[in-house]
Amino acid sequence: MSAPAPASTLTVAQLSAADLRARLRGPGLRLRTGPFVLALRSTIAEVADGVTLMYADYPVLGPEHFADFHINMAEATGWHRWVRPQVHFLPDGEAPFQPLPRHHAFPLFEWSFNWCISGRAHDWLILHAAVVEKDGCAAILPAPPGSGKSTLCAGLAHRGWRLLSDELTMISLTDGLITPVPRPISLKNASLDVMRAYVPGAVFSKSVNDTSKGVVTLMKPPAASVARAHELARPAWVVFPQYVAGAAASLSPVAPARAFMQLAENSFNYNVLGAAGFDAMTGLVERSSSYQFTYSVLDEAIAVFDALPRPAR
Amino acid sequence: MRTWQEETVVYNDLSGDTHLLGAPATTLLTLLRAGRASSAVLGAALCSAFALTPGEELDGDLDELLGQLRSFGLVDGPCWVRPC
Repeated sequence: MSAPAPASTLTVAQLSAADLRARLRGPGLRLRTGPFVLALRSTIAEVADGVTLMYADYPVLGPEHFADFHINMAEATGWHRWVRPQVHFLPDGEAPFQPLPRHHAFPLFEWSFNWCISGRAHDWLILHAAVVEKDGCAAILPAPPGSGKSTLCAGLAHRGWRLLSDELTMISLTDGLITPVPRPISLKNASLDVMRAYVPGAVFSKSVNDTSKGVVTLMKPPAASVARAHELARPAWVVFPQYVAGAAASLSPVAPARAFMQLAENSFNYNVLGAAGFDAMTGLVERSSSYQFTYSVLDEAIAVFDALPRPAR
Repeated sequence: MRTWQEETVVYNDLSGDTHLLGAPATTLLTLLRAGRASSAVLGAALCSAFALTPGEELDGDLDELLGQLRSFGLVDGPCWVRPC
């Protein structure tokens, strides 16, 4: 279930600050993130700082390498370069969205990269779900914003589970295996304090306070998860999480057909894929046990995940 | 179409929609995929599968289920026939 491990490569941490900025300002910093190569360009200091911190462990490729996505996080020109400065997200030279305040640049980059993948990578069935793996079995956590998915994912990723993604679960249309795309974990509002206490020494980005999702902070993914991004994973469990303050951890089975429909509602591209999406989703549901999960205390939640029944081989 | 624990998900390749069906609708759809059938045949199939009693209530339920399948685009036109 693995592609060959990549040969030892240069990482972002090994670049000098000057080299990093030169690549960002010039031909593009080529980052490998799971199966994708991103060519990122930006003159904005917040982007360079965010990449330096959050993508330190990621492989860097030379400018001659093919890139799947080309993103420019560009400073606004004209009046908004100086007054209420703004940042534009420009994938492949287009401007699909309105600009945001410049200090939102790094979270905007993360959301935008997700948008690129979820809108284009149609060799996979892509779920809006976190996914983690342990002992060869992957647990998929599909959930809308506000469910506590990312906090739970971050907790699991720092308690023995491998982070595959906190946002995009990528299921191959050919063999049903999950392709990891480990990226910084997006924490909102009070989740930051929870994770600061839960993972002492974890690395966080600067918080951005006034986004449409509230306060957003990114958490650096574990280096081991990034290093193992070439290792595919077999889906075993689908767990629909819901944080409820004060609730005891509670797991209840979800019937397969209902899990199917909930997963389809949490998919970015199920409707685009047609029959291939139906077949991939069928395969996922047949390979996995599905549950509804309510929790409030992370340690209790992780104990429940550690005790999930392993699928019969 | 896939069935698990008496519930079925069915993909309509004409509309691109996916539907969740219960056991009675699945029974009707399976029969109608084989060809046209009278309401008597469809009603008898439901009675047999679910230990129901023929009568006005069953006729009403049958009409409702067939109407749903037709609104989903899963059955087309007068695929079922009522006796005069």
